[in-house]
Amino acid sequence: MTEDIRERVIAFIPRLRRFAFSLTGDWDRMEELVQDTCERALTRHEQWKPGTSLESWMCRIAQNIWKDGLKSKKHRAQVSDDSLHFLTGVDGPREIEGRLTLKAVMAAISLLPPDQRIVIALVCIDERTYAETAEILDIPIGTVMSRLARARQALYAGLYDSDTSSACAKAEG
Amino acid sequence: MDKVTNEMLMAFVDGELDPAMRKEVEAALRTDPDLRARAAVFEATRQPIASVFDPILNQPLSLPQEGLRDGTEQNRSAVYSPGNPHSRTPGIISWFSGLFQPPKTLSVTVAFCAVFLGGLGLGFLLKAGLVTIDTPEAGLVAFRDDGLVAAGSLDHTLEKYKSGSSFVKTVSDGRELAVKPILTFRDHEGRICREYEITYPATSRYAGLACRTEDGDWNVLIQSPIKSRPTNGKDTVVASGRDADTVDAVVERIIKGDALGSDQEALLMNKGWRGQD
Repeated sequence: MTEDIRERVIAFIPRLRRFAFSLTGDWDRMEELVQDTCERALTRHEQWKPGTSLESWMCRIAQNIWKDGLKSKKHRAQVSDDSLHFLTGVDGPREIEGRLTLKAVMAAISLLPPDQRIVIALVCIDERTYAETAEILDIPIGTVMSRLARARQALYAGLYDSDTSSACAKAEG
Repeated sequence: MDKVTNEMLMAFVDGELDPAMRKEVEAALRTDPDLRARAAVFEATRQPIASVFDPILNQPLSLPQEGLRDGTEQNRSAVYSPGNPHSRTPGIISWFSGLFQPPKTLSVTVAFCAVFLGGLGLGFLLKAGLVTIDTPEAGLVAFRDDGLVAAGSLDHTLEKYKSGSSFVKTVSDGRELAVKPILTFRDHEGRICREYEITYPATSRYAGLACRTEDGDWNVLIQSPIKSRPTNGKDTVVASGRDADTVDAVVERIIKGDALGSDQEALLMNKGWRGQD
């Protein structure tokens, strides 16, 4: 393993943590996912193709591990007050127009199907382009766009509509 | 254009359309309020969503140096402190360093991780452009060749928030930063200008004025503290007249006509602050 790969993996950790948190919604499981991702990236680094994005490859690993975990453990992201209040500082609904808390956003994201959560995490949170997202997930750009559009409409309904159950229904539909 | 799909609107908001298609969608948005309402869904689920996750980027990662030296779990877990008082795990750093286990190189690895991810490491990450800190001290105003321009939360708020509404976020030090546009007007050169207030921390307020350039930047003309005075011996402070001597004086000098009404402001905002009088 070259020193360069180690350095790049370390440098990517802050962004990887943000990405992992948007999937898990929990501090401990975020750390677990980051650790598993880094471990797999470092122990299987020969599978990474030089010239391609190491960071995108790590995102692919992370989302695969997370999805595999969903299948085996059947757990969904749970948003606990304990894991969020230190980041948001404020509990409860939006107090001022325009204010969003991490707790509210994670609660809405947790209602989305896994495939929609992943595209939200990649595009809206990790700020990947549609093309990068398509490459990471190995799906056509058109699929990324349709999945993302549905996810954002459901997310919007979950965040801004008073009846959050409708967001759930739309997301599952 | 026959039909603007949700995917097209979303790609427009995300800056993913080619120039020709972008022009077509822009033209459709100018004349169709329903379309603008649909586009607002995608606006509201991009930058505002991303910004609430930013504090995670800035959560410090402490290095459990003693635990790494002797490798005991007890020591590792005792020193891990990522800024989360509820954390129970030793965390990524003790584990990560453990991957580089060859005894003769461990001390080098520890030193490397300490510099990279500890207190000094933040500076390194900042220089590398990997971490952004959004505080009034760094990140709200940027230097450009042609002057100062709004950046980060200030730019976002001026671009997306109507007058009287506040954008609030918790910044890296745990305190809240609030930015609120006060009024919007055109100056004698036809530019859109916005007066705003920044509150950070709760007891410090700043007034500012920025005008939008053709490049889409908000050129900051003036920004100064709002003088405060204590009230009845309480800790709270209030503005002693919203900095009438400075920012308001500049507004009065450059404003053409009256401030824009909320409808005019909303219309311009929906058009990306582009458009005729």
